[in-house]
Amino acid sequence: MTGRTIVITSGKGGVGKTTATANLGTALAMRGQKVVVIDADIGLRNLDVIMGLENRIVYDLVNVIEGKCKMHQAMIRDKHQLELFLIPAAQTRDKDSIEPEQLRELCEKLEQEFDYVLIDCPAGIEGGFKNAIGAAKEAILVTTPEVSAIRDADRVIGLLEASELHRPKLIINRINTNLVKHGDMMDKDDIVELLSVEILGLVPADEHTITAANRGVPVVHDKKAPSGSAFLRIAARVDGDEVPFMSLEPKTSIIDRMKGLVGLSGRAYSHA
Amino acid sequence: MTQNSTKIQVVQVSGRGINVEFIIDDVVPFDQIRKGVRDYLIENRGMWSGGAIAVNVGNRLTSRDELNELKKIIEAGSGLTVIRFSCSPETMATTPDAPDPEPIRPLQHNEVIIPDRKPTVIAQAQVIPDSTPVAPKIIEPLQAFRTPKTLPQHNEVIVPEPQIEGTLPPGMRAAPLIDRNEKPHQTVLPINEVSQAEQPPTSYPQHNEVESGPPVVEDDEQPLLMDEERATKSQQASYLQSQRDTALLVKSTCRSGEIIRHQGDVVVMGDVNPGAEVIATGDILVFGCLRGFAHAGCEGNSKATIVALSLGSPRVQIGPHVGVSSSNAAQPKHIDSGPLIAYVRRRSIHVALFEGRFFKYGKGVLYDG
Repeated sequence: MTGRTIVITSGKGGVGKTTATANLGTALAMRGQKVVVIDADIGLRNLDVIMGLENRIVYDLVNVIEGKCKMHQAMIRDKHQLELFLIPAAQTRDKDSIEPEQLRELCEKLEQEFDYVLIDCPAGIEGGFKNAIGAAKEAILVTTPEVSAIRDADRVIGLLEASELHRPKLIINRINTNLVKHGDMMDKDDIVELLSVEILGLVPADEHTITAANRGVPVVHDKKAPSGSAFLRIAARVDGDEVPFMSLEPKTSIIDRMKGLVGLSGRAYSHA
Repeated sequence: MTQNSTKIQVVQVSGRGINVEFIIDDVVPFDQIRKGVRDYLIENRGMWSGGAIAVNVGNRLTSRDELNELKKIIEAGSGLTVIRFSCSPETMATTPDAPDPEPIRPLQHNEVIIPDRKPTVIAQAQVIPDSTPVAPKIIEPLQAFRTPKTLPQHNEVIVPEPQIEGTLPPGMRAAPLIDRNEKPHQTVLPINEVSQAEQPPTSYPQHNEVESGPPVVEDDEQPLLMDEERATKSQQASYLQSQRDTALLVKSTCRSGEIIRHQGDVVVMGDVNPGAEVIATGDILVFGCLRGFAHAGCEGNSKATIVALSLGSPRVQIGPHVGVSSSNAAQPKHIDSGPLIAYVRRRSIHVALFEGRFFKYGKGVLYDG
């Protein structure tokens, strides 16, 4: 079996790389794929928390790379998906503890066993970023519809192309459909035009994401969450399915409009 | 290029298109090359009966004298006419003939390094001995620059005309490369290409770290252009003077963090995104949206211009003059369609709809906050 190693990166911090990694990994596993997610954010590990596996960590990525444990000892099986594994980052070490070649070797070993190896890249464009992208064969770029995040994404695309990761795919996270509708937020087309990369999916801003992360259950398990279904569609696109893009228009049912009129407009989120 | 494939024999013959090429081994010392080439020619005496031949010296650093010697050996031994020398791209930066041998420094990420204005590196010399009449066939390599079917390697350089270079070896003169009267299109300038696709495989691992090949030196057409234009305006003459440097064609989007510096004009076939910089001594032409920083005429030429399909740059500079975009709108409303040209008028930068490079632009929209 030869799997695909995909790095999930953004440049700017806080745009949802870790959330996207956890959800994509879970969604791919729900589709019956064998997935391993690697947290490459050494020293600032979060992926285990988002996936609710924090208390199961015994060995971590640095231990594997330094040969202190076997690869399988550091792989933590997910609570919900049997074919989803996590290799957590070391919290007490820093990004210089590993070299890009070492991570690449590890990923090549993992590719033999798994369909997907997802690497959660740290923010920034320094050592940790170079480690993560050096190991990957494909890249997914996460950005939010903010000027700063897009500027960083543009820089990162340049760096990815420089290290032979051509044609990264774009996930636009936290789109607020109401703001887009009123022209106060960049919409998908503006961002795609500026970055000129292929778009993989849009994730609407959704507070389910936050509550799910706090509970340690990725939001794709939440059938009602629009962001969860967005991640499911993105996973399907990663997996090679043709999934049409959902309309970004806010829900305009009569009740919603009535609520809007009386100032009670609650969550007017939409599917993406 | 196949220069690395020859290890056993000193000379290997390869046909590239209609051109036949001698590939000279680039590992063995030059003395052995001399002997090897002679032996090879004697061995294959019957094979050649005149004609044109190109010589590829691979990674070897050959001096002009060595090239001449090689040429003499080949021409004496075979009756062939050497029309061209070429080498592999990495040799370019270190050829001993280069006027100021700047040490090759490791390239900064994403930086486009442009070699000096007057390229004296012999990469692909087009020299024809005195006695040889200038046959149309020999002109071909140059014309190839204008036909897409045989695009040059991006490291190929035509040895300049004597008035530019002035140091051609004795016994040779640079051939009049193009017959002035017969030249069909005089305004097409040779363009060096920098693109992902044309990166030499052996050069640099990172595709954005492009070192543009040495600019192609002007041929006869430039003086001709000068003749035509001199009558009109001195301003244009000085512009044409700057055109002696060649254009750099960037075939991809310039992303944040990339810097393109070039001696000459720059053409970007894509957007220049915020955070990217394009700095040129000549004009800057962007077939896309210019949103990054652009500095045309960076050596103080205020006659340079910046042309873009859409101009959303927070700051542009032409020569010493700086233009700042208005803070609220990307560009003034009444010039929001069509390609725009930014130029200097009364020491400030104006923007108008593009109507040709030599159109007499009046007062445009001031690009000043």
